[in-house]
Amino acid sequence: MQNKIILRVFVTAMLCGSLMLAACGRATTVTGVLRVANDAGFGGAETMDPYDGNRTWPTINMVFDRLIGVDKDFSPIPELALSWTSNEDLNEWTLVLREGVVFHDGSEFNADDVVYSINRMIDPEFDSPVRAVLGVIESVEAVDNYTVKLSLSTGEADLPSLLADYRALMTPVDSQATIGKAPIGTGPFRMETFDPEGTTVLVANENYFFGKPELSKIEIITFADSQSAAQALAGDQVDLLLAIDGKSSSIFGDTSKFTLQTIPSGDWNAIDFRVDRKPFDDARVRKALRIAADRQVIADTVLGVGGGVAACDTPVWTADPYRWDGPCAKDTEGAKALLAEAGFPDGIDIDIYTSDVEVHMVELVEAYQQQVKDAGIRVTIKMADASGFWDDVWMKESAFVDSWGQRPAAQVLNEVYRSTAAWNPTGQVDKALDAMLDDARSTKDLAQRKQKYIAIQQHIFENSGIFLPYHKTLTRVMSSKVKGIDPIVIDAVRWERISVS
Amino acid sequence: MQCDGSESAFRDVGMKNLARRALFTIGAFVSLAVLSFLGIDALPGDGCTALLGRFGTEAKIAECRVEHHLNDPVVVRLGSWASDVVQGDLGYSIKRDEQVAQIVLPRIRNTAMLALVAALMAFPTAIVAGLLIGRFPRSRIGRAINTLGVVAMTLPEFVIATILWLVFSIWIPIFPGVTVVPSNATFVELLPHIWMPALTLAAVVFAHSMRTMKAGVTTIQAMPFVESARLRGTKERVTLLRHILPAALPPVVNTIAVDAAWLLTGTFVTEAIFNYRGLGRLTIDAISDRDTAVILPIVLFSLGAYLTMSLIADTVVRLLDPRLRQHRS
Amino acid sequence: MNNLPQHRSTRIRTFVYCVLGFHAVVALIAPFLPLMPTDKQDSGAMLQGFSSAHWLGTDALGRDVLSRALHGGRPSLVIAILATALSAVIGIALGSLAALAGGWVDEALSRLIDFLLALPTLILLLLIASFFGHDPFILIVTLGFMYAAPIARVARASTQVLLARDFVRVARLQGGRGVNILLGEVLPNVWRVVFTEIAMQFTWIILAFSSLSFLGLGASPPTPEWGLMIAEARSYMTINPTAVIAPIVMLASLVLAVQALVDRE
Repeated sequence: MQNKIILRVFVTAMLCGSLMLAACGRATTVTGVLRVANDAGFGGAETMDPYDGNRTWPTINMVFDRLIGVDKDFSPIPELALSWTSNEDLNEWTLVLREGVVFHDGSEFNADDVVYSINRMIDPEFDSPVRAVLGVIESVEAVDNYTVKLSLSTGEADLPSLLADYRALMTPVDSQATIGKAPIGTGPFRMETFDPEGTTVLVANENYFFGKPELSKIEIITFADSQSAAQALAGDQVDLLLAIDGKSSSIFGDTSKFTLQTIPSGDWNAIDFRVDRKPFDDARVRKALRIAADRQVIADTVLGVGGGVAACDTPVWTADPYRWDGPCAKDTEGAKALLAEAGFPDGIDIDIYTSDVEVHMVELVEAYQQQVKDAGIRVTIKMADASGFWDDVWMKESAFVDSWGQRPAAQVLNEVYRSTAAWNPTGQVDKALDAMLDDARSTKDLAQRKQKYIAIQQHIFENSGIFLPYHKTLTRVMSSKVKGIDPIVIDAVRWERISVS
Repeated sequence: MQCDGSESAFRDVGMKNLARRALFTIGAFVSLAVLSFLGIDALPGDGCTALLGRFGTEAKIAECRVEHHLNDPVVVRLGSWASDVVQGDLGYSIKRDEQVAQIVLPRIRNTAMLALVAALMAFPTAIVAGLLIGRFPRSRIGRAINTLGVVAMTLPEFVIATILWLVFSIWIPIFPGVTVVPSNATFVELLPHIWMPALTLAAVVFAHSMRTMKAGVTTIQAMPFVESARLRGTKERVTLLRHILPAALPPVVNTIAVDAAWLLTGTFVTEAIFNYRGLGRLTIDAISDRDTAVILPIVLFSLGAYLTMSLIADTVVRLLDPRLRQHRS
Repeated sequence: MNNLPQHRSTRIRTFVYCVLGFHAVVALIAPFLPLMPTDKQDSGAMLQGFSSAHWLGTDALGRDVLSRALHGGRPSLVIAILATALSAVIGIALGSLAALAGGWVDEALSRLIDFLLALPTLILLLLIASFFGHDPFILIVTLGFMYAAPIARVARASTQVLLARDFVRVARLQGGRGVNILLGEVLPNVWRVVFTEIAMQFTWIILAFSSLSFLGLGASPPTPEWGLMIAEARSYMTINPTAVIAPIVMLASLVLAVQALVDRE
């Protein structure tokens, strides 16, 4: 008998102990604080310098403002600039700035800051990724304290949309040295602690020109992978996941706890083939690799049925006025013929690198591998670690997965496909395409411009090394306590209007 | 005990052995440290390729290497690294633009706290459970605990972690499922997030020492001195605590030492699952970044943890076990 | 287990053999079973539960969980068996050589074994997997060397015990050479003790490999491998639990069975 009693006492003691531990473990929530989950894609090298390749998004958009923002329908709206006009040739733009705006350190925002910021964006030495978008700007000058004039190398009808790029943010004069870790902006929140591998804390900017933010604080919490971020939301440890896998959205089906938003978007995934490496230097091989797959099946498999809209390798999305909906049905025989012509009659073996850095990136390659099998394309999937993927794998290996956010046509085509773009992921140099881009952007008439942009997309479909199967319908999920986030892409979200009850 | 002359003579010999053992530990550490430096140095990639990432043109990398003296002969770099380490400077991570000590030390602290909580959960309970189960082998509760412990021991950590997460964070939400505090959070801030990973680790190591204890108790119970104590009418409790426990403890100390070293250095999977910002996460990040400046001190810490733990275990066993002291001398 | 009634112990032993037999047979004949291809995707049937077409449902890409779970042991088993064999050869050679030779050779080899034991296994595996990719050959060699040390230690200890025994002394006095003594007298007798240690190392290697896969550094998708399957299915655990439970049960039953087999205390 005695033995059992001892054991029972022991077991009871352990149970009581664990209950006491449990009592200490309860999560607490504070109102007025928004906790956003973010990934660790740059592995500690993140910076707050919006023009740097390792800029940490979307934090930069909470701290800084653009000259021009985007509305819910993606049309340009005033942010730090109140109005903009161009000359007849579309190559000289004049912007009138908002007056009385102050930076977080109390200094006033004026034309000098705009000149400084834009000069950094277009500096060929620094070679910012933004340069691919705004490199068309040749020079910038302050006309007076609140007027700037931009001179372009060629006409650009859509310059306001380009200035609405999420990184075309305004930074104070001479901030280059300190901005990376101690940023000073005009935005709705100012930096308290910057810890890109842990928790970055932002506090409200009471003097924000669009009005005092509803939130007192934003915490951006870094997660090693998408799974642990979802775990955190399920356990009420974060309030907002910017994007989740649509297939797992039923986990968050409880509408009393979570708000799910599905947002048709211009976000896309791709598999990039470096055109400066064999065998992808052969345009026939590239085309074979792209036409061998059924895009809709890939979209359904990867994103779930209804999770995406098929695309014919065009980065221009469905709601964009310049979108080309060309035919690009799966063509196994055509792919085989092209491969045979290029010297691969028995099919071809390729390695594709991927990583769990974002949702869908592994599944995309798995679905692609299945789709192209019958055309004799044998894919070996190479897994890379999530942290540091963008530094170590992307643009470095011969073939790798890719992921881009929504951008207007004029921007995405120039940023991803132009020969000189810093983030041209395939390294493709195509002077003909560059000329077509210059021609299209400087065309004044909308209908004509549209024709030219469609021709560009067809040209890309014939030549490019980027297999782009779909645009995503985003699934964003947040705690039902979060209010004020419209179902629109995150670049158009007004952070100062968000509240947590 | 102290006044007994022969006893203290044995002790001296024991201490001499220990001194030799400590010398060996230091020697092993130094030579393994040098080997690690050379080994990691031989791997492809360095701080400059890690830093420049996709922007790394040949020219930029070459320039960076000159700036950070990465072109010096390996012997020279080994020498300067060693002298820095001896002076307490762990080096500088080019990639993260930060002193390595600032990156690594908070993580070591976090992992050490996690290891400590897990150890406090696992080892005392394991010793008590092993003692009781060994003493009362027919108890059903005892057998259930034994089976549960063995199952937990053989399951991979990610399975245990997944099950615990499902049970304690989703079905009965009492613990936070993942860590959401920064790596330099205070102990109090960190504490709520420690329970789940600590429970996982404790479940993994619990059965090792529990079973060693149980086996020891089973063997010792059959020994004549226990029998004679019982025949003398010594109380059950006294027999258990005075006679069986001390005799069964030494082998458990060794098991605990190995497990403690593992708790300090082998917790990658658990930390990854719970997003716990300890050494394991940093190791995975540093390795995938090819950030050799950070990998090196982590490897050294692991070596140090293992060697120190086994040295401590040896010392404790010698102090605990009079038989061993005599036999070895 | 020696405290259990005899018939119960036998029943458990039989059960363990059945489980091991099941794993061996399944691993060998899985490709010939009438199962769906492990990589056949179905965008119309993702994350489904039990059905007549998919007995254990489907995973996030619409692949058959049953088929993947039954195939999932093959990569780990091949790697674990080869790595264990390598570590057994290295371990026994090092251990018995140290004991036979004695003197400074023993001292040097013992220190080498201590060195190997002190190496942080997982860090090394991660380093090697990360820097040299997923080459199975490199992985096997690394695992083989790292897990040789505990075997060497046991082999050395049991050889030493054996050398003191009479029949080995007799063989030595009769002028037997080291190698002959090793093969003829020592090995057959240390084998049983060493085998237990080898079987333990086998389970650790299986666990290490599946941990690597779980961290994305072992098997590459779409290979069906238990650790990888668990990692992939974890996100959808509450939607189709069988996709994560099936590989867990397979992995755990194999490891537990091997442990139970060698567990005679």
